[in-house]
Amino acid sequence: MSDNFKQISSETLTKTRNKVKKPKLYKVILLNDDYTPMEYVVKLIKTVFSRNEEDAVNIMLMVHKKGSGVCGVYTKEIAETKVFTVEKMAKNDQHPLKCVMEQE
Amino acid sequence: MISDEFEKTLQRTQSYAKKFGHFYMTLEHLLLSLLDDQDVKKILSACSIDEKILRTDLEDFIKKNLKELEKTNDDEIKPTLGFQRVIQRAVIHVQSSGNEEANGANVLVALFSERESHAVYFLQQQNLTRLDVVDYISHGIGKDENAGTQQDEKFDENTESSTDSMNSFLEKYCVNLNRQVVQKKIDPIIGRAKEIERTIHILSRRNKNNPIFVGDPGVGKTALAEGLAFKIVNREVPDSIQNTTIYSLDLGGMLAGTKFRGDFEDRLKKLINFFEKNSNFIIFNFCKTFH
Repeated sequence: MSDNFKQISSETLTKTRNKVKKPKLYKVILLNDDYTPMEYVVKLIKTVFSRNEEDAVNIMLMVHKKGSGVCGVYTKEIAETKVFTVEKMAKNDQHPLKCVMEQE
Repeated sequence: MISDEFEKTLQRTQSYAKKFGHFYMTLEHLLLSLLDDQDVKKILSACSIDEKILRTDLEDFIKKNLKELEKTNDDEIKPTLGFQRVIQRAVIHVQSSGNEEANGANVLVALFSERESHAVYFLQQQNLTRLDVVDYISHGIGKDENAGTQQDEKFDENTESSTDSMNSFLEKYCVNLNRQVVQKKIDPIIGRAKEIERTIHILSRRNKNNPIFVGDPGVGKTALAEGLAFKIVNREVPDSIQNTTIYSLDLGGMLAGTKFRGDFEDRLKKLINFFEKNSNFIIFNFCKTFH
């Protein structure tokens, strides 16, 4: 059998296999600044991330004290859309609020 | 700018998002509705994609992972940025190639350029790449023709569920001697009665039941196997092996086209696994030398 094998295929190719990776999830993070009012941030978290009042206040305080706060974890597509919505909303209302996404 | 068929698909996407109560239309919603798009359907079947698996994958994902998107108020359903990008990419591509209308197929191609999207991930899981899709759109080349190996890989994953495909696998590399007898392609054997008798004896043993025919070329080793098949079909063998089927393994066929190291072993292993599960088989192996 091995004789057959040698006769037919004299060369061996190496098969490169592309591993399919599971897409990662992304955190959407609000960054602290000294000009955006706390109430505004709470309102924004409630509307964009559909959180309840309590969660929103907690996240806002987190941002205020620690410099940044995670608003949620989403797929990349949704995370970037959220970031876009937040920045657009803040800009419309003339606040310098920044929002970024980060791989989990 | 957009074909009528794809217009319908877009509407379906929106209604999917509405059905799940989401306020974003994501690429997963899009892919789900693309599955019913005529242009895309053709591609998927040509690339031997299991539409059902893909559909359940997507639906599960949408139900489980997109819970966050459930809307609280009656806002309009909006496409995500990625969604807009995909459509834009498809339209721009179509325009730059001088065509009028973008259809579902173009959108499917555009979808592949999205990074870290679950929609693309599900497609990749089924071994579908952008090249396969583009190949089909431009030249009508389905995946089956040039990708025997990928077909084989699929057997690995669902050997049990795919008896049908296993049968075609058998057809490809083996010859069913019993059937050949029924089709009168094998003539009755003359002489060698003693040897066949002995073979039947060996086969009927509880263990060590593997006869090997040894002899110079042309003495009739193959004829013995065929003679046995003949006897089985004509019900001249003991009950214990009456229900068996003899397959003649076409080693040349198995070797042909094994481009990569291990392809051959893969195929052999698959066959052996199959035969182990279904005990009513005798494999007759054309081997020149045993090692």
